Amino acid sequence: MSINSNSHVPIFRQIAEHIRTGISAGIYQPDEMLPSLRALALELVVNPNTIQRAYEELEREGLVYSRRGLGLFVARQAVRSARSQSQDDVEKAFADGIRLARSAGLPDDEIRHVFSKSLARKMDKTGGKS
Amino acid sequence: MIARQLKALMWKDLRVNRLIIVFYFIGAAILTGAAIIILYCILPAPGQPNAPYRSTTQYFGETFTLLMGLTCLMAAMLGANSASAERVDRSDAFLAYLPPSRRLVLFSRLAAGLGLTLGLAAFNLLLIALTYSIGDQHPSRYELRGVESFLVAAWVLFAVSWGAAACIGSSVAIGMVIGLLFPGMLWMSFMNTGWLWGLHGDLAYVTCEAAEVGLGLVALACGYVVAMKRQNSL
Amino acid sequence: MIEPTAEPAVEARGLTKRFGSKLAVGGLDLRIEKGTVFGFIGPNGAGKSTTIRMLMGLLPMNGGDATVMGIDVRQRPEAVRRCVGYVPEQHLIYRWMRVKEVLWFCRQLHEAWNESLARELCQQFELSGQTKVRHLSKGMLAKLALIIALAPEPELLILDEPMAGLDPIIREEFLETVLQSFCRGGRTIFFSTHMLGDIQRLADSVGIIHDGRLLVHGSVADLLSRTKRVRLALERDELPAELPQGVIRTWRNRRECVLTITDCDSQKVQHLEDAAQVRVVEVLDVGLEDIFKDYIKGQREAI
Repeated sequence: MSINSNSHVPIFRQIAEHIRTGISAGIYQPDEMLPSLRALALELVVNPNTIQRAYEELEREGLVYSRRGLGLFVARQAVRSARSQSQDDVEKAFADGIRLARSAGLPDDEIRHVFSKSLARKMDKTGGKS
Repeated sequence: MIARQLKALMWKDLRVNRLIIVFYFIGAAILTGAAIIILYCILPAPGQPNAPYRSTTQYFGETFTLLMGLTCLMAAMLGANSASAERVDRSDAFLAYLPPSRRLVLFSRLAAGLGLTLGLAAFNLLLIALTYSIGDQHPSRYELRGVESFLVAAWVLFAVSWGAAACIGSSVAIGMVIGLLFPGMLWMSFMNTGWLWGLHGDLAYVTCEAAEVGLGLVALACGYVVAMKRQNSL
Repeated sequence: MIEPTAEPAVEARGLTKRFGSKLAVGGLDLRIEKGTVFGFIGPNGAGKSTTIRMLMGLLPMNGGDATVMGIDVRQRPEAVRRCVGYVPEQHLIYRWMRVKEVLWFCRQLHEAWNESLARELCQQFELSGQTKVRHLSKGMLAKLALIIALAPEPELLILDEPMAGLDPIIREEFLETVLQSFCRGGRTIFFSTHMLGDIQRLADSVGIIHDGRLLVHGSVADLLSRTKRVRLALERDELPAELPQGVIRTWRNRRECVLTITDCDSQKVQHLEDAAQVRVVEVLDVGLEDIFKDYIKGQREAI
């Protein structure tokens, strides 16, 4: 996991995001324990309070649950939630793209065209993985 | 706790002045060596008709009295170095954020400097005393007075250098203080036996020495106050 | 981990310092909660070190008052130094001492001193006790200063640009050690730096100081999420008559204008979109470095 400490995205968001994608990619399996605050803080060289905030966000989303005195564990239904959460992120990324297109003055039709073109190109490369 | 702090501070202050002590002993060794060479290779042996000294005892006694001059010089250097060495290399800023109080830091500097000065003077007196106790002679009244003058001069040189270095405080200033004060003080301690202020004999002598001791006390106090003030704005 | 207690680690009210006629720090208010990391940033000469030195009781203040770990700095500066570990920008440790002598010396002067921690850190930093301080490299010197500050296990650790001029590897080691000591719990950290990335990694809250005044004082996450750049494409070379509250910097070039706005919300953006002079509004996220620069430049340009 690497942290961009110059990004405009707060670091706790970056960490939450990393763990979220980690869960949907199966790096963290259900009922597995997440690294402790201290361990992760020292590994990433960030404030443990920041890790705490990231974990709180994940807990609020229902991706992880806490066992008193033990730590945080990945929830069973986490993969699905993580995917839907990732969908939101994708949506946000598209929104950024659309904003970029609009500020460059492209009409909506052309934006749609650009999107299908780039999707088609990706499908060629990956063989249309679903 | 304060005793522990003081011990560490004193250790540091003695080490800060270590070089001066080394210089002193080198100087003393050179002087003694030169005296031996002069006595046995150049001067006619004591007791011979045209010899300037009556005995070897007297010769060495006076040599070690002359060594008091070096002791005075070192007293001045110790005074100046104790007051400003740490300011010159700026390590006092490091000391400033450690727990001991400013008063303790200054006290330790003063105590170490004064203690070393006393130590050097005691060593010198011991040399003189040993010379005369091994030999069969007694020091002349004139010589004893010279030793006394030197001791007072050592005190006042230490104190004035301490005060001046606390006020000015750079290595150049230390050099200036010693360069200007030392001959003046020597002159004073030699000349104060007679005709100053219209007084005569012992009275003039004692008055002069009392004045020097007083001047030393004032300089020491001034240096302390100035150093305390300066410490507060590191 | 953040448990706001009644008593903050550092509290300053109206802290003021003059050097002659120059106002170095003017009426600074500061509050740092216990158990948090505070990052103090500002351009060179903004008054960071002066503030820190006043808080340490090293410099008498001309006005205001300050408490550090509940101790009145004016009344008992020596008590402050007892419970604060301080790593200054310049390491003026006795150059003639050996490393082990420095550690012995400091140990004698402190009431509390964790010798095993000091040894452990020396080993970790590969700092040999026999080396003379004058032969230490800049990085090693900084590490020694850190050991001296950490070994008494202070409740508050103040770091005044301790990593200026260090290479990235040593900086990382240094930060890790600071963080490790923070993780042991109960400690508050106050550090000033120019490395905004480090602030973003480590600080809970941040203060931006300029010309002796605190421009911002708040949580890093809030600052990042609430400060935005709003890019306006204008109809003509003319700004809206009424700009929203909290514009910290305005940058203009022909028919383009970028406003940096604090506490930016949809209402403010809507207000700009509604303005007749504005054609397109675009809201951009900003990193800490740009936020910092915009605050400082905004101040300078306003004069």
